[in-house]
Amino acid sequence: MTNAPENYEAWVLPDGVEKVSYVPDTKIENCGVFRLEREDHTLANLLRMQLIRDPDVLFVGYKHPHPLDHHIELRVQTSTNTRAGKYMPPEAVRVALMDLSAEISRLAELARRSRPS
Amino acid sequence: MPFGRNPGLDIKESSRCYMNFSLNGTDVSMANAIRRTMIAEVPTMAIDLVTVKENTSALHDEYIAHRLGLIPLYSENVDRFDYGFDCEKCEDYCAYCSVSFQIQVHATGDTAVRNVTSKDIVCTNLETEEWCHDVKPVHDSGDDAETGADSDGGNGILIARLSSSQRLDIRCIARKGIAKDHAKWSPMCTVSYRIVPPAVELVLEKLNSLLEQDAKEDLAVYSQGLLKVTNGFLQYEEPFLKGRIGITPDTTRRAGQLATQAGGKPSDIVRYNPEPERFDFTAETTGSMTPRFALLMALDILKKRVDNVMAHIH
Repeated sequence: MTNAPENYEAWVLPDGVEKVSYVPDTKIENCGVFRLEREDHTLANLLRMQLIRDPDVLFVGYKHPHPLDHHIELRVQTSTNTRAGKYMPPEAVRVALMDLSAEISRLAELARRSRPS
Repeated sequence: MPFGRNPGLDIKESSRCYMNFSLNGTDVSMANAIRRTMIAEVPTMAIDLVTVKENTSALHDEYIAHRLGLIPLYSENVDRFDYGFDCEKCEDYCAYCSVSFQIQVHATGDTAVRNVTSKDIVCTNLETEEWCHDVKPVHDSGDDAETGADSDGGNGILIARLSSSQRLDIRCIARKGIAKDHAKWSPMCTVSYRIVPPAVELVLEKLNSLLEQDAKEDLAVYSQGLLKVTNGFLQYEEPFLKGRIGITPDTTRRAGQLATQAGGKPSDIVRYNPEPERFDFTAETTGSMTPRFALLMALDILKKRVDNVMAHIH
């Protein structure tokens, strides 16, 4: 058991590891894969469903490569001709995260205020 | 917020260990994220390090250590503790990242059997830091008591039974943790939600007008408690209406077959509801905190995760 990884390494970001990294696709325009370190289906599925709501997102999908890997890979492709001009995947993800953050804040506020009758 | 939603959340019933709430105006992914976060990411305190000084009981040391770990500790002030692995104030454990307990029981000769329960777990750093006081074993999860920590109802959680002259002397260190590490740190017994209306429903009006009497009875038998025939009409049984059971693919297939035989189309008798109207949640805790508290913590944790990822997107 001496070289077994510590249990907390599954959910605590180790030193020197980047939380989010983005690798643009070499063949497809406006497309790339995000690697979210120490995240799981909780956030990945939330993010995927939120990105699908964006009409300028052409493709989004995620995978959790292996049960012993503690990261997820999120692939996003955005439309090349949007009305607003350039709209790259990082921008789309940021917008989705902003929406989610606002939604969760609202839910927390409602839960705090809600008193059972 | 270009693609945001305006969700609703309504707590219907809330007590010490049980809560009922409904979530609306949002998506399955949000309901599931809340469920997953409540189960696996809300921190609690649990006994993590056990030193056995003396154990002459019938149970071996590891067995008792495992049982101790599973005893819920009242954890609503868990935020005042640090995680053991990143506590800056100590190398091993201290009052900022742990609470110490001990169990010292000696079964004296006259009683036949001495039960060692959660009530024999005594906090040993009572004097040191005031926030350690509240972390106590939860003896029962009954809903009659007002607060978990002070409740004295029941006999406590049984740890071991000692016969005469057997002795147990154990030191325990409780640490903060989350259920991703070990399930003993989960505050929740159950968190489940029901999607309303169900994703797949049978169109009973259509089935009733289409099918012959014996076909209806065939379907009712086939559905295994989903449907019944009263006065010649198919109706849902009580458990389905209360959401305890769902529609199985087998029943749907059989209904489709019978409809085809009667000259209808399978697509007429099944209704698909792609947009859930609301999610009815049921949440139960072990007694380490109230479900309402766990929900509030879960939402805060989820928001922090989202914000953390947002801060790292370039």
